Order: sequence, then C-alpha cells, then structure tokens
Amino acid sequence: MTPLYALQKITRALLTVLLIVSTVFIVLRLSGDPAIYVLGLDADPQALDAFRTRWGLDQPIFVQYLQFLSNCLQGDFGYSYFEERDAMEAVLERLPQTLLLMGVTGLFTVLIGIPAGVYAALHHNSWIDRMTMLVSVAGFSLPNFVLGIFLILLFSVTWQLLPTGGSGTWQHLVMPVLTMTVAEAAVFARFTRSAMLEVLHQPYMRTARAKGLRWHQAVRRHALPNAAIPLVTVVGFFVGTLIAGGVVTESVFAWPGLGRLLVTSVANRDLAVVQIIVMLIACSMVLTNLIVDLLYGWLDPRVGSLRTGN
Amino acid sequence: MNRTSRSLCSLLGGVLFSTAVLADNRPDLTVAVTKNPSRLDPMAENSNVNKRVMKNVLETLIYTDSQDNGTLKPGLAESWKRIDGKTLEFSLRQGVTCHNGETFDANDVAFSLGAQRFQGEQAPGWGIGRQYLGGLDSVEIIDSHHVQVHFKQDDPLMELRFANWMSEMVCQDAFQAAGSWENWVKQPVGTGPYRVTKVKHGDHIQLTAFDDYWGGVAPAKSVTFKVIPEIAARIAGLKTGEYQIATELTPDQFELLQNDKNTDVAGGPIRNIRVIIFDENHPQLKNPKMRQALSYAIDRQLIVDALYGGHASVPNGLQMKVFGDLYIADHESIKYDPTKARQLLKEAGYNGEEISYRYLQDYYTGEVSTAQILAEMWRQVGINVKLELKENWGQIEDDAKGRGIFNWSNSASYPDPLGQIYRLYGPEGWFQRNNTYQSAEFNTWGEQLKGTDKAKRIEAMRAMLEIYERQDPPGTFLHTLPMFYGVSTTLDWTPGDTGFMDLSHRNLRIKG
Repeated sequence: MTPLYALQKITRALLTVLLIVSTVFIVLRLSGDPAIYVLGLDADPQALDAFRTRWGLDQPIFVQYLQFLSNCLQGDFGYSYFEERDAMEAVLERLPQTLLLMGVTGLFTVLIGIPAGVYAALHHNSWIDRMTMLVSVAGFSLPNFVLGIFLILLFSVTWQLLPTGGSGTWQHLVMPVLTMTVAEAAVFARFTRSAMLEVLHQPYMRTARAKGLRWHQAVRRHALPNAAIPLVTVVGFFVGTLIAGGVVTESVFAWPGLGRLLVTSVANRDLAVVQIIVMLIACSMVLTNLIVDLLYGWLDPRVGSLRTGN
Repeated sequence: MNRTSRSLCSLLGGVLFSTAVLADNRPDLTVAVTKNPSRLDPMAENSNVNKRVMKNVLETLIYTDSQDNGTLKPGLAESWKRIDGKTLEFSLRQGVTCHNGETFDANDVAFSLGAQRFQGEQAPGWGIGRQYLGGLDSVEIIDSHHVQVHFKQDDPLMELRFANWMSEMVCQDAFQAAGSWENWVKQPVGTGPYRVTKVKHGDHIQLTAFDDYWGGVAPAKSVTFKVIPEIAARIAGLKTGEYQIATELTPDQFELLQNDKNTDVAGGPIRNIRVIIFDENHPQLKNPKMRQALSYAIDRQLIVDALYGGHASVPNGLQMKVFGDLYIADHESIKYDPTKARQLLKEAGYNGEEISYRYLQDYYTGEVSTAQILAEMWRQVGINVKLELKENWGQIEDDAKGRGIFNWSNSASYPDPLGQIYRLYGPEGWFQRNNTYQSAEFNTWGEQLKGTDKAKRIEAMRAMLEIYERQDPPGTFLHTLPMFYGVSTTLDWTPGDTGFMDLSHRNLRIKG
C-alpha cells in the first residue's frame, strides 16, 4: 500500500459523499414544498410565502445549494422545521439508539453467521451443510416486517414474555435484534461458506496437508485468513444494510432510532434532518469501504501495488 | 388548639389523605398512535393529531359536549351573551388556575388572541389561525372576569368559534416565560385537566393529570401518546395490555379485537367527508357537463361497502346532520346514474380524451383502492382517466399543468356549512385561491349564508348544494370518513366526532 493509493481512496470517498449529499439536496427540493407540510394544506398563502422567505426556499436552487455548502463548512447543518430546533441536535438524540441496535445486531451477526458458514463449508454436502443453507435462505428471504410481527405474536401476545415495542430495557432490544440478526447472519453464513469452499480447494491447502499439517491446523492457519479477505467486503455493505434494514425494524418495534426519523423527515420534507442523516449514512458507508479498501491493501499487498501500477 | 379546630384538622387531613390515595390509584394510560404533533400550539400546527392531544391541555371558553349532540356548555366562560351581531361578551369562570400556578383571567383571553400570539399579520399564529378567527377585530377587557370580543362584521358563528378548535386559551405569564414562539410551541401551558410534562419527538408525548383543575379530577394519573407506526404492533400492544387505546384502526382488524374479552372497538364517522376535486382549468373539465358526468358515474354505496364493510356511509350531499337547522334534510343528493352520465358526455362532445387523476399512496384510508375503483367506474361510462400516483401533496398542488382530478377531504371545522362548504369552496378556500374553481353565483349565496337570518341562510345552503352537486360542481362527495379506536375493556370511553380524544372526567371512566 502506497501513500498515493491511500490518497486516491480518500479523495474518492470525499467526492462520493459530496455527490450523494448534492443529489439528495436537489431531489428533495424539487419534489416537495416543506411549507405545505409545516403549515398545512389550508394555510394562508401569505404565511406560506413568509415561511419560504424565512428559510430561503424562495431563492433559486443553486443559491440555496451554495448557501447550504457554505453553512456546512461552518458547522451549521440547518434547522428542523418540524422539531423547531437545531437539526443536528434532533439527529444526535436518535443516534445512540441506532448505534445500540446496530452494535448488538452486528455482534450477533458475526458470532452466529461466520461460525455457521465455516462449519457448513467444512461439512460440505452433509445434512448439516444443507440444513444451514436452508435456514440461511429462509432467514434471508423472510421480510423484516413479517418476521417482526410474527415474533410479536409469539413472544408478546402468546407467551407474554417481551414488550411489543419501544425502548429502554434489554427486553425491548431482544425482538428488534433477533429480527435484524436473522437476515444479516444468513448473508454472512452464505458468504463465509462460499469463501471457505473456494479456499479449501486451493493448491496451498493441498501443500499444507502434504507438508504434514493436520486438517484443523491447515484450516486455522491457511483457510480462515484467506477466506477473511472477501468477507471484509461484505462488512462494508453490512453497515449500509443495518441502517436501511433498521428502517422497517424500527417501525415495527417503534424503536426511536435514525431509520424512523429518516422516513418521517423525508415524508415531511424536513430537509435539514434528511440531509444530515443521509450525510451520516454516506459517511459511514464510505468510511467503512475506505477502511475495507485500505485493509485489503494491507491484507493482500498485491492489491495496492496493482492499482497504483507499481 | 381547641376541640373544634382539632376535629376540623383531622377531617381536613382525612380528606387530603383520601384524595392522595385516590390520586395514587389512578392508572397511567398509554395511547398507541400513528403520529404525534411536533408543534403543540394549535396556531402552530393545525392537524388532527395536534387536536387529538392538545385539547386535553388547552381549553376553549365554551365547551362542546360531544356526548350531548354537540351542545354548547360553559367552559372557561361561565356564561356568554350576544351584545349584537358582531359582539360577544364572556363572563369568565372564577378560580381557574393555569398549569404554572397563575390565575386565569381576562388578560389571558386578550393575550391569547392578541398581537404576541395571533392578531395581525406579524403575529406567529396568524397564518394558521386566520381562517378560523380572521374576522376578529378586537378584544376588550371589561374587568378581570369579563371580556367582549368584537368582530369586523356580523358573524353567525361567533359562539361556535369559541367552542371549537383554534380558539384554545393559553396563559400569558407562561408564554412570556418561554421566551420565544419556538420554545413555547414545544410545551404550551393552559388550564386543561392534563398538562404537558414530557415530549420526545417521534416517540411519545406525556401528559400528567393537573390536580388543581377547576372541572374535576382527571381519571388517569398520566396519559402517554406513544408513536407505534405499525397497525399490527398497535393491536398486539393493546391485546397484551401495554396500551389501553390504539388509534387509526381499519375495519378488517375489528374481529381480532371484538373476539378478545379484554378489548373492544369504538368510534365512527367524524366531521369529515371524503371528496374528489375537479380542476376546471383542465381542457376537458371546463364544461360543467363533464364534471356532472364524472359525478353521476360514481356508485358511492359500492365504495363504502367494498372498502369500509358498511362502517362509513354516503352523506346526503356535502352537509352533515350536526349542522342542525342548516342541515337540509329534504335535499336530494346526486345518485349513481350511468345512463345520465353517458348522455352528459355526449352533450359535452367528449371524445375519449385523457384526464389525469392524481392521488397519493393511502394518505386517506383506502385511497389507492378508491382511485382504482373510480377509474373503473368512469371507464365503464366511457371516460378515459389516467391514474397518476404522486409522492406528496406538493406534486399535486404546485404543478397545475395537466392536473384534472385529485383527492381531498372536507372537514367541518364548525358544525355549520360556513365551516365546511363555504370555508373550502368559497373565495378564502384553497380551490378558488388556486383557480381550480370560480363561481360568482356560489360566492353570492355564500355571502348570504354569512348573514344571521336563519331562513335566508337555509335558502342559501339549498342553492349552494345545488351548485356544488348539479350546476357547476367543483368536485363531488364520496363518503363520510370514520375514525376507529381499539379500547381496553377496563375503560369506559366514547370518542367524539372531531378526532379530539377527550380523556377528562367528562368522557372517561376507569372500570373496577
């Protein structure tokens, strides 16, 4: 990995964030007028105009855009029309809930998905392998809201063990985490299995065995580290799907996180809030992928030197 | 301390003790809702969800008793009298305390309607409050418990305006202590049976019983309006006892709750009629005969039966029984008549040109299904309607080009035609302001409706219903809009017809 390779990646990451934020800025403004959402359909036309003037919505879109960029650079990310407060404050209030949900889900996904995939690959074509893949396909195919409602019926209505929704205690966390983990762990199990299967058939595995390593030693020293490389890519997508998948799960379980805030803010055209959340998602995706890219260069030195032409 | 004083003390102590025990035994209620208001002053957010919550916090001078056919009863005012056609005098109730401890009096009435909150174009509440109280000229304080409100011209609705949404009174000291309108709308202070104690945006609003309330003890210790967007989750929570009331139910969910001994269904039509609007600027809709044909081609009863299982109804024109004398009982509303529709199309010289019908993804209950059914009904008489699903209101309102038919609902903000047909289709309404409809004749009758002579008002209403339905329709009615709730059987609660959830002692009892 060379400094030039790293610089290229970082520049590309920054451009991606700028592109995403600019697209969202323009699309949101062209497709709906916040004044109607804030003041209501029957509001006085003068009041609607006054609202637009107050927030600069009557200005040409490129003026608004330049103003937005300039404000962002000065650390001002706008005002939430709906919550009547700083938009960043509204977003930051929800962030811990989303991070908690993401963190616990991420932990369980990795703890369940990777071992399941490795185990299935090592027992290729056995009934355990087939069962693991069957469960994985089922978990991946089942929409979040169906599974969520099913869990509510089972754990809350029938057995009365867990609350149906909300947040605050560990009991509130169980069903949302379970709902998201089922789908995510299924993806991880499938990816790990194929990555492992590919590695297990590589010549270096035969060499390892030939030089006298036991099967489990060969797997631990050679198969697992090599299978980890494509798996790192999945982690990049994983962060994005956690936030996107969280939208549905948060709605079903009334979890007060960023996903729900994003949906309601888009529907209400609470522009500043949407922009901050999109910026956060974009940054976290780009950052994860940047780390993945840099990690790739470190894990596999061929990647960095090939890309930079050295 | 003599014996009498000791007895008095012990008696007083006993009363206080039993009140405290009573207060402690009251339940904490949770209401599962789809959405909560963001800005809690009515003049900052004119929405059904705001009305649902905040009328428990802020009160009007006159109380509308929804359990007694909407009879007007004393509220913050003990009595009121008309001085003339444009002046109303209120005698305020004594001993009313605001949630912040200040005494409610005439100054608070004047302040609630004054320049810092409502009166004048620079006031923060003017933009929203204007369509309700815009006719107000001034408020005159006679003494600390008497005020006169003066209107600019004769107004038959004066009493109703102070008995309905948007005339809620606030407390001056608390408003000024908030420091700004932005702060105030987060936690308004009034005189109601509950006070706002906690607001977490997008999650919940908590009201707590106000124990110094003048009207009686609130039956619940606290009420939390919790946002649960998924209907299945609201119903599940109601069944497990986490929520005591769940809002916005659809008829297909009724059986689930009615078969459970712990839950039941409440509610019915609210003061709102679902309508469709015709934009007369559309080349095909300029001719009134085309709009009449669209209206005759609709089998309204079929829509009600198919989508609401009989839980909504077809009204007798754009009017409601709560209008009292102004409800024209012998009015013959337009009926489904496909033959007549075809004949009108022929007379209008229609040749199958395309007419756009813009609608949203179920902003109204069953909006998509309704649009599809309507398009099919129109197709059967030979009208070529193109369905255009839009993402938001702005795409329907702002983009006038090519707009033909679109959806709306007509709520009666007052139990009077002035609060519905003329408010919406008159010169101040959205349709005339945005040129989808113009009718000088309709406006002339509307001005007559604004008078105080009852016979003349009835005559005007008859004429306006004819114009709306037969002569020059700006749109047409479909059915009444209902609001259904799932309710725990531990509560004895009857919803009113405005969307306001009255959880005071007047309307809610806890069983057992």
